[in-house]
Amino acid sequence: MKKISFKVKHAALSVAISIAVLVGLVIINLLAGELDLKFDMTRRDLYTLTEETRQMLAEIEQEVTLYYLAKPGQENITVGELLEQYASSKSVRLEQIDPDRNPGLIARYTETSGEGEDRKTISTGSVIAVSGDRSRVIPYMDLYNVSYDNQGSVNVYGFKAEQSLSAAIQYVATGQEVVIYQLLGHNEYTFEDFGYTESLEKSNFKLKTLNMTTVSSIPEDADIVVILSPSWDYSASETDKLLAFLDRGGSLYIGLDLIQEKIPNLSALLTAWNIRLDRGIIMEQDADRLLSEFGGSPVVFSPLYAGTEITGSLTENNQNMVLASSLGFSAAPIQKRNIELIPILTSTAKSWLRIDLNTASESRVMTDRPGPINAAVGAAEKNIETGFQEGAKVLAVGTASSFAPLSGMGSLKANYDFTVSALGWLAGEDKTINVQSRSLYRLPLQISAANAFVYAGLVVLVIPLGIILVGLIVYIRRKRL
Amino acid sequence: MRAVYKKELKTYFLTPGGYIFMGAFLLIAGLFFTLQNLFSGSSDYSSVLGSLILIFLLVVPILTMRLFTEEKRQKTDILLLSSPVSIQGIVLGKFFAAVTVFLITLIITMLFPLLLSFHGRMDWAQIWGTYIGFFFLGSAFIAIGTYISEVAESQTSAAILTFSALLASWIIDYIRSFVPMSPLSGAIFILILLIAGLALFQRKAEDWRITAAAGVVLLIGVIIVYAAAQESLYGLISKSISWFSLTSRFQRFSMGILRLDAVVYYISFSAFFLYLTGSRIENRRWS
Repeated sequence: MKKISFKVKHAALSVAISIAVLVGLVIINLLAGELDLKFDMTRRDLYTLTEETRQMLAEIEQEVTLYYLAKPGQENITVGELLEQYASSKSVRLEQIDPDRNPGLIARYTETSGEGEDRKTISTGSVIAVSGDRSRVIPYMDLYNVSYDNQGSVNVYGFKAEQSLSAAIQYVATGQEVVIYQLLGHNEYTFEDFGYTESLEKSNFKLKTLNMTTVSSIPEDADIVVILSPSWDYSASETDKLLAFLDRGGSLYIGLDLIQEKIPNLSALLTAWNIRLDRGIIMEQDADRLLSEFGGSPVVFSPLYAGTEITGSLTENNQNMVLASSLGFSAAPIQKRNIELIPILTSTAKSWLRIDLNTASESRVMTDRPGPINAAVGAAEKNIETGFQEGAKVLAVGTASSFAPLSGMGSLKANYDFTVSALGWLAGEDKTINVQSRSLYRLPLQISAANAFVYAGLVVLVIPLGIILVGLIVYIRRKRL
Repeated sequence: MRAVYKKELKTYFLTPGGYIFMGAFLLIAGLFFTLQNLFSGSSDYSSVLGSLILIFLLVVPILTMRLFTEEKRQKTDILLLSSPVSIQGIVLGKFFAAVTVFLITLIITMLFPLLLSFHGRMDWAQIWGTYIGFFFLGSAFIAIGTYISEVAESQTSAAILTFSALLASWIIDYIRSFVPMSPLSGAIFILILLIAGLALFQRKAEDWRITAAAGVVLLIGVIIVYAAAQESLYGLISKSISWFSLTSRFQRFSMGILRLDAVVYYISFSAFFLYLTGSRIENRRWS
């Protein structure tokens, strides 16, 4: 038998060692990957699940499968980071699906994402949450907060993947939804008129309508009752039904608008909840809160947020709501001790409440009540001993029509986000998973042009050229040696 | 190793190479910083560091091109190889000297976010995280440059080859979306890698019969894998690019996520290229 030459032996040894080194390094890498040690260095913990989500995941008993639609090697890193964290929970299984190779699976869930003509395609990058018979599609665009400017270009200002995914997981695992009854019979709006229906359903709200005249009481399954801009007052028997509903722990969202006739029964209902409805229009004078798109009209303004959890996300994302012709609210003269009154949206100290609506002046007059004026307030039952909010809640907004889509502008994103947060607050933590979207917004630099130019000169000219000059001197001196 | 390191570091600062690297790096970094932060009024400095990856393509060749080629040109490599320093010591000394110059440059750029902090709120933790990733990514690129400088015959060819290699590693992420996904393409991809490996083996062994025999065995292996576990080959090219990609791992750092596996990957990537450099010198010593 021919002997193997030295060169072959050497080459084989060299290849074997190289492969061994490579395999060793791959094993080290796999072990490091298994450890899954990472630190979220972002200020807002963008890629870390909140305690609310962790708790929800720990509580669910039914297994949930998340299908992430992405081609191998083409995953979105941002979304992937968060999905991995969900998958580390014992009740969540993550499966990446190539949309081109699994049209059957996608078609199965496409049918449940819409009905009839509304049937939609599921784009790559989307996630489908499935558990038992229930499923929910989270489109890729629902993982981010986006707004569109007048030119139609997309502006991504927030990351709400956790909000959407947690709501979907909670729904498919438990089937739990917050049932909202929207009252009809007084020419009210519904959320459908505002274009909110689909988005609210994705946030686990089940929307129903109810005509108060046809029922003896609010149905048992109701979690929240919504009244949006009635054109006339509710009867005493109707408000009694509402009070009975609140007595048994239900919550009420009431959005009003200025109407000709007074609404004593609804006002009395609010007063019973420590809220006084001030019939008048809030007029804002602070230039920072007025909007040029509306010609700087004093009745159209961006309210201040009073620092409640409802507006936390809006503050974080630097989103401004727009309110028009809002009524005002103040504390009722008699305050019940077991009800806490919470200002939510207010005008500035430069504003006022126009009581005499026959006055056309755009400046403050004697009869006006000086600001700040509450444009939205909440009232929550609280445990007198512990001080914690428990039981029923009421939230009143001084303008409902401001939430309707504006011609050419559509629904205002901030106003919608406020509504979702407000409904989440009314439903309570045990009914909804209240995860705020994470802002991707960064405050711009407060830098003058002069400073910018000085710094630019320093970093583009002085430092690099200085170093090159030193190099040149060193080089010349060495050459002369 | 320390002696080589000291000598190499000294060379960087006694010849124009180190200054040209630092000057060019800081000039381009300064331009990006000016345009993306100062003139746009943005406080997002991490994305500036992300864009700086492009600079590596241009400046890393300046830093590494002369590491071994210069020794070869001046014939000092023979002297070095006969010195009491181990081959790994020589490679590490040279590599760490280049990394030190890179680190000094990086430290100077820390002035940029400091300037911004006077005019806005900075995400310091995220910036530190990005800097850590940037340092490891730069070190991995320097390791590639070190290896190429050993392979290449002249400084110019080392610079061009390093530039091409870094450009390829940068572009490959963009072509990831267009690579074929079928199991057959995965099998062909493995075959190409095996052929490349066999070609290297043949170059050393100079025995085509053994190379051909090894080729046949490996080909049968690939056919068996293709027949038995076709599904596992689906999207293999894309997955491999994604796993091996240097720049996609950096994205996590610039997003603000500090991951142990990414750090380990960069270190092992550098270690592998330094090992290759060492074993090449070893071969040269004995040939």
